[in-house]
Amino acid sequence: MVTTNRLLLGLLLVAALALTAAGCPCNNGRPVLAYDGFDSTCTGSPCGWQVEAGQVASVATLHPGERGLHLASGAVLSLEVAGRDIGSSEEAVEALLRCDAGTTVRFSLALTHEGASDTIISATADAPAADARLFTRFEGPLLDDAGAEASGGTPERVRLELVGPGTCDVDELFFYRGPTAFCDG
Amino acid sequence: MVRPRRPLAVALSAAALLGLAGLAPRGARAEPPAADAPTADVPAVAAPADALPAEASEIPSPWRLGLELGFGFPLLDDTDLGDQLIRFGYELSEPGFHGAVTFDRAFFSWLRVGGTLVVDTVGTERRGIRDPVETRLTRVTALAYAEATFCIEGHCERDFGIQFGLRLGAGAGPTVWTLRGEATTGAHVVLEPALLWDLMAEHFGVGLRIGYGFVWQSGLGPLDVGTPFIWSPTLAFRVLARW
Repeated sequence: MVTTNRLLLGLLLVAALALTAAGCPCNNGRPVLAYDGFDSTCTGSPCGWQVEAGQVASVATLHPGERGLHLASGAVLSLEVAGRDIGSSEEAVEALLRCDAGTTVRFSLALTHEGASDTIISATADAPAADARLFTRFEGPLLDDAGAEASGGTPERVRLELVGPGTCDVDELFFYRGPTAFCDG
Repeated sequence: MVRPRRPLAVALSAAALLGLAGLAPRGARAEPPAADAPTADVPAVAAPADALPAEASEIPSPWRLGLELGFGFPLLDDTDLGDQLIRFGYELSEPGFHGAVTFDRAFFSWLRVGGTLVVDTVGTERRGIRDPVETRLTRVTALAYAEATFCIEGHCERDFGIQFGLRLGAGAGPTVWTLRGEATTGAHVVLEPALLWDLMAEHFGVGLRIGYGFVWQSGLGPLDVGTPFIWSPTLAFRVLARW
């Protein structure tokens, strides 16, 4: 009986390893269109980003050694991402942030179609956590005004826009362009 | 997420409780009485020290120095500090290093009182799109304790052999939290019951300690995140010297 159990456990282990090896030939990561941890700044603003409105400052977040962006006074900033098209159409955003009550951040991505006018797809972060001191991780798809995914195009720029009367801190930001599901493809 | 250290900690607890079996109070010999010895007058507990012959009642080496090395399990998950570390991508599953120097004195055959200077440190790492980032929490604790000891086996009246101890300690100290070479500090308080098993010779001994610490951590960093009293078990091996 013991021998049989060991044999079955061994077979189960081999089967599990075989499934792991054979079932996931794809990349389980997401193609990243834009990323910033906001740990360094260039002349007062995050490197590569253009501050279009409001006030933006570097701030300690979790720890004095961990920096993020403090957004205030209707801050809007953007980052050019032209030429980074990866060829998929399942854009999403992930951000680690905290906001005052009644305030949030809208993340958007501008796409061009053969040089024609922009298509804007966006996502707005959830309401702040009950304890406004603490950071939460927001993740969501980027959709157009009709709630649909983009039907293609070339990424041009990403944008952060403070929405509401208060302030938000953003520690980390990913814009994804590509499959979002594990082993999808 | 199921973390493997909780079952380990529970197993340590079970092992400790099993170790309680077969205790004999210190001061009484653990050997069975001779076959012709009268049994009706044998006391159920150890005779008081002053009732023993002078040579036997004398504690041979009251002062004792110990060095501990082991593992600590800082179970931070369900706290603001742990929640934020996890949200920032840090793994909390690593056991931490535990080291301590203890110094105590026997005041009775069954009681030791002393102090210990403890260092507990745990590093957690974040892996992601950037280079791995490690953050490290280090606690230095000055802890006073009282320890009741019981003889399990050996020449108990001479303090030789296998001993079992119940220890209750309380202490406090600074906490240093580092990330990318920068440090922020706070304070913590520890209440720690512990079980001890020691094998003692005349001047040296080796032992095992299982601590069931409860640790309160003050707020740390810009977010002022800390912990309420959380269970934080420790498993440590120790060497002892006395004179």
